[in-house]
Amino acid sequence: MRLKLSLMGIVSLAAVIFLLSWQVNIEILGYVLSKRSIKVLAILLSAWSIGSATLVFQTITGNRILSPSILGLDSIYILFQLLAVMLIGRFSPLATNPYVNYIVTTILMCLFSSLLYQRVFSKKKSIFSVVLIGVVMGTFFSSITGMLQMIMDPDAYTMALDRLFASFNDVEEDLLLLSSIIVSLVVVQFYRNHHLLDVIALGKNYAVNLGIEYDKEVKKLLVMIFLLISVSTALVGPITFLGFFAVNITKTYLKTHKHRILIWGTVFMATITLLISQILVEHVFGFGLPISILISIFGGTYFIALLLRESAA
Amino acid sequence: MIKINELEKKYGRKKVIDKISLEIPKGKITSIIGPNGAGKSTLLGMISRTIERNGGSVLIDEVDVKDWENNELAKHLGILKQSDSVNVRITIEDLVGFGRYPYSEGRLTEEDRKIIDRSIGYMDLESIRLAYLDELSGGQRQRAYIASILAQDTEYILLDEPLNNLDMKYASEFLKILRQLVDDLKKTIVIVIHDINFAACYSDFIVLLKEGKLAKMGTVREIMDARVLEDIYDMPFNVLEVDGKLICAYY
Amino acid sequence: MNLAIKDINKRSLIKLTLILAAAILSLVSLSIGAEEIIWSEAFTEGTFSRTLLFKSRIPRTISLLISGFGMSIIGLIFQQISRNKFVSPTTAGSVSGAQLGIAISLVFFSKVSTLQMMLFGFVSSLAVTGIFMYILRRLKFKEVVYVPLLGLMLGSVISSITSFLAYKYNFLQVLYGWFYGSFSLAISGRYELLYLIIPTLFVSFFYAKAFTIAGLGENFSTNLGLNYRIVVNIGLVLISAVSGAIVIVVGNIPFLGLVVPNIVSLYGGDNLEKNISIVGLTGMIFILCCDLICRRIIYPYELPIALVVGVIGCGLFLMLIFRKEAGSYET
Repeated sequence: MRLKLSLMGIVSLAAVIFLLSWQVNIEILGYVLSKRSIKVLAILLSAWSIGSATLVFQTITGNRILSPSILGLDSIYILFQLLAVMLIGRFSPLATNPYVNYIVTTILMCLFSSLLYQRVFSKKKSIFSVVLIGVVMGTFFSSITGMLQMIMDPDAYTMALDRLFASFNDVEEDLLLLSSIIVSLVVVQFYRNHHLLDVIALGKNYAVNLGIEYDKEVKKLLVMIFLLISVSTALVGPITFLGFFAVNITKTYLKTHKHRILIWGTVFMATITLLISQILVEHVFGFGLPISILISIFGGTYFIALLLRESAA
Repeated sequence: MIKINELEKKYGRKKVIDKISLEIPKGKITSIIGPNGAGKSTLLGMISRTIERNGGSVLIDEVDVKDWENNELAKHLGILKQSDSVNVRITIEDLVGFGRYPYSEGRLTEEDRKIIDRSIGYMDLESIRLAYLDELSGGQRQRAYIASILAQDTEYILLDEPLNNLDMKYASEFLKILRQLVDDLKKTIVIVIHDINFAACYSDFIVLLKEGKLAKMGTVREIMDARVLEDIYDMPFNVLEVDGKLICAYY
Repeated sequence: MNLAIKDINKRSLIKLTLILAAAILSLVSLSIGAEEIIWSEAFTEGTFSRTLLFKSRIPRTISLLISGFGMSIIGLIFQQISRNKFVSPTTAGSVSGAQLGIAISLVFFSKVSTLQMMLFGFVSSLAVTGIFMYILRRLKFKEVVYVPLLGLMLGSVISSITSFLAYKYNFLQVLYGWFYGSFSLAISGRYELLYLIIPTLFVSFFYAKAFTIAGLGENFSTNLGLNYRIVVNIGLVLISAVSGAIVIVVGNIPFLGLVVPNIVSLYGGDNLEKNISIVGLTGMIFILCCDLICRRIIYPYELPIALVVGVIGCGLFLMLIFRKEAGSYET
């Protein structure tokens, strides 16, 4: 087990080095390296946050198929960006200062989604209803966003647009430090709670029977998930299926249910997937293909295969 | 007459029904009983073509179920299975009306309507005939399904645990209706049933299954024998005669 | 018996009211727009009003009527044969399938006719819908709200393949503009494809009873001598054909096929034979209203209908989920 885990670690390290050093021009080494390391850091951050968030999300829902990226958080994010520019004006610090923007939207997203799901949870709904509501909300928000886009001032729109379609090639570098702190704090928090996660994975009845305050704990975990997803969305935009892919491959490979190991496995696997996709996008497909599409195709094919295999059994 | 010959069903390697041969006589009530996992419902399913068989044959009026025209068979044989989960919003009246589908696929005739009304009356559903299925209690829904089978007006009626969800009053009333159908209208009824005493009181023949094999078939008197039953169920039985009916006590 | 007759009368009355409402809304829809139609001139050869009426307004209104009717009816059929209230062409990947087919046709043919696109869209939509039903049939875990989630994820996989093709062959923008539901392009010369939907609607009516019975389960259908698989497959073909045609001419209109049948079912039940026309008419009225909102809100410009339907439809759908859940906890 330890061996497999270290193997995953080594592969991800190798991929990092490859991305940093491939075809480096020695004369401008310093510049290139700093440029590239920003990119790699961003990749690591989103891999960590999406990977661990999905693992915990699947543990809570007791389902291998779902991932938090379908909760519609990205559309909430876009909506907030537009509203910020529209309502507060495009010369306010909220629109011009990336720090302020980042912090405010992240907090707002967390607050909003927690409130939303708090309400839903307080009515004792099944977890799938919660997820479905999330998905519908997502469509709802993106419809509103679309409407705003049509009726808002074109200049302001261009301004907002910059933030809407981010990729690893143009990350706000100022934000990386802050994001790193948040992500590592939450992931460590997950790790410290690995026993709790092991029990929650057995289902609500079992967990309650073992004296766990199930609803409270799940709510706490959900807030942390929202935080991670908000961070990665704000940083690089939505990447569907990355988490799903990483978690399932890890579980198949490591064949364990212990979260102590799964967390690191998933994080490594997400890193490897993302790095390799980035390498493919940069060096194999030469047509500016967004990385999220590539991962959706990979992960999505695996998703369908998994469904068919499980249903055939 | 239903003639079953060397009937087989396997799930993977496991034989659920192992070469069963028997004949179910016309104009009688035949109950199929046996412990859990004996293959009662599977047997009934294969007779009614709702479960594929792996070998053997089932003849209904000398023609194999597989060779029957689907629609034609639906006029001769009706089956009620342990109910599919229902969250469909259709009314009792509509459900019972579907029983007439094999006869008049499109429009209901005056004759159809009479039969529907009669079936609804039989099952005491007149006052709630326009209620939706998803608003009913389990017992009411079960009665609605039974009414639909009655409306299908087939010569052979197969029922898979029809007493589920019915309280004692409706259970015994329902079995009395079955008795009437057989005695007055010469229907042939096959019923999978858990309660051995209901089987003994209302049927003519009993089929005993154990582990996918036919253990014994015979008249009620032949089967309601402590030694026979003890052999099948692996527990002590005490058969009493009450009001001319055989009742067995077990606890 | 008395009750039954009362019920029939009530339904006829409802249908009549709905037809009347749809007719009035259609007239309103014909008469508003960026340019005024002068009705006295509209029927004289060669006038501007006439061209406007026959080349733009009438095609648009007819497209609205057909799509509203078609989308709601196939939604209804889909929910019936999948036995799940939350399934619709959008939540089961049929629409994404149609879009993929269109993208493929754009890749294969440099000059592609709408009919070819329609064919590709139809076949690919059928394939995706078929996969969905196959998975659904084999699924052991059939919680009502889990099924649409699965369909949505399936749809997003298919969409990402579409985006991949679009990126590779550089027609992403064209495609997005296209798929985003809007009736502004439903003009003479393009909208005629929608007429292909009309025969499929007749088939739907013909099989209404069979679909209802299929909705009660395979055993129940077999017992009544109905060939369950054939009925389900006919349903799938109808769903894919209608989705394909609408996606090409109008684009994706989310939630229409989901919300309208559900609302009608709440009040009128699930017997397709009785309800199918009520559902279709309600769909017409719903989409006519949404279209009027689109055209008035930033007059003289207009919003794509997908937005307005998205906002209203999502709102209604959320209500339905809450209702459903509340209901299931009562029992």
